[in-house]
Amino acid sequence: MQKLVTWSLLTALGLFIWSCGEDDDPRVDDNFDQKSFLVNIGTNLIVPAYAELKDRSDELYASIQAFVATPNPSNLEAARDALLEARMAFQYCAPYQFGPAEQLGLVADLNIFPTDKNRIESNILSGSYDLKLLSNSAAKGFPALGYLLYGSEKPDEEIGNDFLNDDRRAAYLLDVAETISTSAAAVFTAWDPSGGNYLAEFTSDGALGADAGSSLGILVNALNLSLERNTRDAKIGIPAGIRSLGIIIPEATEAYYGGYSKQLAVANLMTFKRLFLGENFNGERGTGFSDYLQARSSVSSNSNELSLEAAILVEFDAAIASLQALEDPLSTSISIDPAPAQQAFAQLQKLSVLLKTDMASILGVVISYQDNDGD
Amino acid sequence: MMFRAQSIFSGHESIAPLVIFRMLFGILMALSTIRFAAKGWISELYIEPRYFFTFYGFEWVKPLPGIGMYFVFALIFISAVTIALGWRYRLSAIVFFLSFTYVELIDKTNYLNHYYAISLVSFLLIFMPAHRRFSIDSHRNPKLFSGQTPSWAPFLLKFQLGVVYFFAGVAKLNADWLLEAQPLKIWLPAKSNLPLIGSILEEPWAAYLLSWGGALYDLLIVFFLLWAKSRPIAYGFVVVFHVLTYLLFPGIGMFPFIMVGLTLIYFSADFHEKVLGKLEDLFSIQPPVQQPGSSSQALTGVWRMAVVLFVSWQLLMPMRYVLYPGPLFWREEGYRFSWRVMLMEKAGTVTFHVHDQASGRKGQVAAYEYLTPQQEKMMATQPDMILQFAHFLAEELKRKGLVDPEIRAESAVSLNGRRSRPLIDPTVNLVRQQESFSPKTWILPAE
Repeated sequence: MQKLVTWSLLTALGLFIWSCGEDDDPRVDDNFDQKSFLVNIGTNLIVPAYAELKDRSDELYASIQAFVATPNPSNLEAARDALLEARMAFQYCAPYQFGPAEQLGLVADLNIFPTDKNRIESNILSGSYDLKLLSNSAAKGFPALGYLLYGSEKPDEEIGNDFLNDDRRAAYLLDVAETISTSAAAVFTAWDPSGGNYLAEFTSDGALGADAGSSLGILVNALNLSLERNTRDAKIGIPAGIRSLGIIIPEATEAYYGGYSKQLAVANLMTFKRLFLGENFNGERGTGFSDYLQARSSVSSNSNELSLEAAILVEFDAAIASLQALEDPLSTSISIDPAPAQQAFAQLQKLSVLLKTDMASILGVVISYQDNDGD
Repeated sequence: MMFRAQSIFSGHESIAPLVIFRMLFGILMALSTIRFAAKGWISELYIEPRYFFTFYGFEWVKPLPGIGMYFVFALIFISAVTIALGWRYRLSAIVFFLSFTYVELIDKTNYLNHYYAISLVSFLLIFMPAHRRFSIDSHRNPKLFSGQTPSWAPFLLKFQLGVVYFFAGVAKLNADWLLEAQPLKIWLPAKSNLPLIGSILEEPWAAYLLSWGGALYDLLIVFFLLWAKSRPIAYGFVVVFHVLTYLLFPGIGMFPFIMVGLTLIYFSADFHEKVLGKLEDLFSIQPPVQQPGSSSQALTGVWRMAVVLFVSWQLLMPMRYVLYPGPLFWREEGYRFSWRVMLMEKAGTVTFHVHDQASGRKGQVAAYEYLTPQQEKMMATQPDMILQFAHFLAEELKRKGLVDPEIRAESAVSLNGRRSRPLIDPTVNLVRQQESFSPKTWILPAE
């Protein structure tokens, strides 16, 4: 017995001495190359997503400037189109609200909904406001532009006149669009290898592993937080009354004025699926979470059940289908019949459980947005 | 080394091991408290949450309002320092035990086995003459000085630390740990970024090796520490083992360092006399010459009974799980206060379905609307916490105007890498269920 103990303890000692050795050699990994996973996600998914958001936000600002200069129906239409494009681009960034996006408060600048039209109108009326203030989060961003560009009952020809006749209204529209463009550019620059190069930090050796603070840990936590609170709850659950004991809240839909909330939700969830598969905008596959799970599948070998990565894909497709079954404008369709939205919520819940509980567990990532001791 | 009842109750031995234990304990506790405060946890864990998961029978324990909790931690820190210094030692030990235990009782979210160990050790220290040498107390009152301690004091400390290790080892004797090498098969590959050993940690044999090695270490280390011949090498393994666990699992915090410090109590009186002698030289302290055994008498009957009760409690408490149907890791009835450390990878999600019969209103509540992420995470895998939250939620909803809300839990829990499955019977209205020591009928089977 003592020999056995001595032997195993000596082995532990050996492992310890090894681990204290130099670490200038990049590790050789037999099973799964976490680095190439992070490089693929960072380089081929995240940075292009933020580049797209920056470009679409710049175009949005330009088209708003054109509309304010010449507020005719065709410029209004162009501004609305640019708004939709930018909002779609924002969905492509949804799982990546960590690092620069978190530090710079991207969501607070771009997409707090439901928007506060009273606050917007009082800001316009007073003409003195600071869009940087937290208290103005619900009076700026895409939802505020949605209100300003769609929110009037008037025909399109007359909407332009509102801005033509009211300098303060035009100035507010420009300020909101500029804030979006500035904020999106700042986050892109922070990731950009020729800018702040957060990409290098994200893919660095020091950020490998699965501990709190590792890139994997941060990414898994961020994607789950976003899927659960934003996709499942904010986009579907809250407007459909699930979080309010059955009271439908149509104005809580993401694009209440634009009327394309469902379209945004579908684009949002497809982004999570692409991330899971490690697939870029052009549909080209790189190393993704599904490969990661496959490499770790030995830990839960039960031949009777579908592999976890396959089971998650099934839930992704079911959840996407349930979102596609919704009808835009979502605010109207949920008021008529909330059942499809409730089904979509249930599907998103199933998906969320697999990603938050099973996937995180297998990858050894602790879901906790807090630092703490454990045992 | 033999522990004979008679020598434990009436024998005497050098006080040096006890004195050094006192100082190490005080210093380690003071450092731990600084670390805890520096991480912002006082506010995060005891001020910011709006709900706290109290222990069964301790529902009356509440955090202090405002900045009160900072004062409690200041008390913990100061009493740890004065324990180390041996200044008003008994009062310090009482204050430390009460303030530390009070904090631990506030929220079971933050339960850690080593916090429980600290509470127990500080409780024991209250009764021990650990201040009778190399302390401010004995410096100011030389009559207090003693070179000897009754043997029951070091015995109980060694017993307590031995219990921690031994039962941690017993807890590892289960099929997942030994046959599947779980959860290390999950945890070790997650550390594959570590230099050099990283790729080894991905190998299944590494998980088996460390599972079996860890179980044997926990089961046997105390006996090798007690045996003089093997003691130096056994202590070497204590250091290596704990440093290794710290490197692999930095999340276990101060625990490795506390154990490395406190297990020095197993060393011989000669060793501690030498160390203490050097310390006394350093401070130019001349210990008064004293007749051995003159300072204290044998334990009276009542105190002997107290020692026997404490020892029995420590031996029985970790085994109480046998009174429950199990499986223990799934149901967690009799799981806490049993030295089950780093034993399982368990993760879960839980959402609450609310149905108010009176108004016919239905909906779901996400726990994050009320709990911190840490609380939510801990609750999701522990049935007693899910029940507590359901009762809290019912009260909240009543305040918002519901008359008699029914609350059911939709849960999914993954244990040691298995596919997640429901933990709680989703048809049971948890508001009608009460916490008790009886087995919970509304926990679903693990497979």
